[in-house]
Amino acid sequence: MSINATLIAQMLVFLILVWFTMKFIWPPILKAMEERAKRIADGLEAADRARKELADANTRADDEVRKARAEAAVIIERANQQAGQIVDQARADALLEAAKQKAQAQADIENMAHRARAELRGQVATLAVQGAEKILGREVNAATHKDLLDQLVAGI
Amino acid sequence: MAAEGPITSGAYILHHLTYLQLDLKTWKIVENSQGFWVLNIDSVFFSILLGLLFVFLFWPVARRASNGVPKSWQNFVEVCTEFVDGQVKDAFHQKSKFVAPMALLIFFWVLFMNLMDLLPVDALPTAAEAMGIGHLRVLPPADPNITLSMSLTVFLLCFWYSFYCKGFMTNAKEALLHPFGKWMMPINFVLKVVEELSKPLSLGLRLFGNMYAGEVIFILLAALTLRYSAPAHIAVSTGAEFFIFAALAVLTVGLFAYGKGKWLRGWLPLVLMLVIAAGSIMGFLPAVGGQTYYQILFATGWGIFHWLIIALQAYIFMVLTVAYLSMAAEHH
Repeated sequence: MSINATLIAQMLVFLILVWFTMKFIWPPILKAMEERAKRIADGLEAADRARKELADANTRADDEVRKARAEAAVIIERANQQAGQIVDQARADALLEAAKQKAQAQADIENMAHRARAELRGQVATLAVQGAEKILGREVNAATHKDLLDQLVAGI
Repeated sequence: MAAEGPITSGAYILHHLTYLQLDLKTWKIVENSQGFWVLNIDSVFFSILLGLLFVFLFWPVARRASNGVPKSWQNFVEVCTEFVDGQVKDAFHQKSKFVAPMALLIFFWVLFMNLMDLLPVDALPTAAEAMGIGHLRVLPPADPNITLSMSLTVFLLCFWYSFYCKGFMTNAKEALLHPFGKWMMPINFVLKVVEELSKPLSLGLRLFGNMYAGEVIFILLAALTLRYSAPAHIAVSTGAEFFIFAALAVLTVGLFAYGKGKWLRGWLPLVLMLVIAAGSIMGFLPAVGGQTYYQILFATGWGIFHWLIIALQAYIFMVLTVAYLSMAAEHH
């Protein structure tokens, strides 16, 4: 239990160990730890930044898609309109053509009817004279009853 | 243990408390020398050995420390370093290059030195005896020289650090004008001296007392259970064994009767029964090491509890060192 020179020896040992720890053990370990802490912090920050950039890029891509879709809608709309116009145009042309042909046909028919009627009218007088001859049993002079015949023809 | 004649437990205990000493005046190995110029070789040897253990555990990591993903051992060292760093940052608010490393060293060095207490008390002394060394104390903190030298070094560092941080005048003012003002300077100074001296004394003696008491209990357990040739010791140790037996048997029966769950009712009583069975066989067969069996049983019980003291005292020594240095650096 007595105090002796061990005290001094141990003090020296203690001081040497403290010096050694202070010089060679503590600083490198702490430095490595601090550097790692910094690296981790940097890494987290970079990850945050990347996440934000990714989100931005996504929004931008979404915008682009939306814009493209709107443009496409406009183009389709315009195309539809054009198609409608073309169809309308074609229908109108067709109707016009049909009407023209119809009018042409009507005109032809009327012409022919007119001609037929005129021909018939010419023959009516002859028929009437022949009929009268048969009824009267004698020859009727067409020239004498010309005015009567004309009256008949006009009456038909 | 010396082989001559029957050994009494007193002699056994005394044997374990005797240092291996070197007289620095005559350069001879001595025993129980009371002079100052004597070196306790065993204390210094084991403290240096354990200091080197610390160095060789931490230094390789320090040399190869990388800021990448740490490997397992580096990881452990870093956890320890971070723990100490946190403790120091809590208690010490100045910038200092030596306080934190010193705290790390103190914690692990004292921890390793304290852990020597968990070695079986006879293991190293018996081995030393085989090599012709008569006495060996393997637990440096049970030597007041060791603990007081560390606390005195801390005290001197505090003293130096106080002047370094605050200068001479502030220190003188603090020593002379506190706590009673300028008309009571001598009393103030005496109080200051007592206050300052009580720090290293309490720091060193606390560690010494705890570890010395722990060591003595291990030695007593060993002495109690070793069957010496003296009949009185057989009676004492057998009585102690019988008492422990009875307690274990009561505990086993009690657990069977009142225990709940797989552990309390199943495994624990089973283990206890095995312990009792083994003890009752071995206790009657000293030739196969019955005494060793009881020593292991008791010393394990005390050792498990002693872990707490070992770690706690190392921690307290570190924290108080940091606190004293912090007090030395701060203005009051």
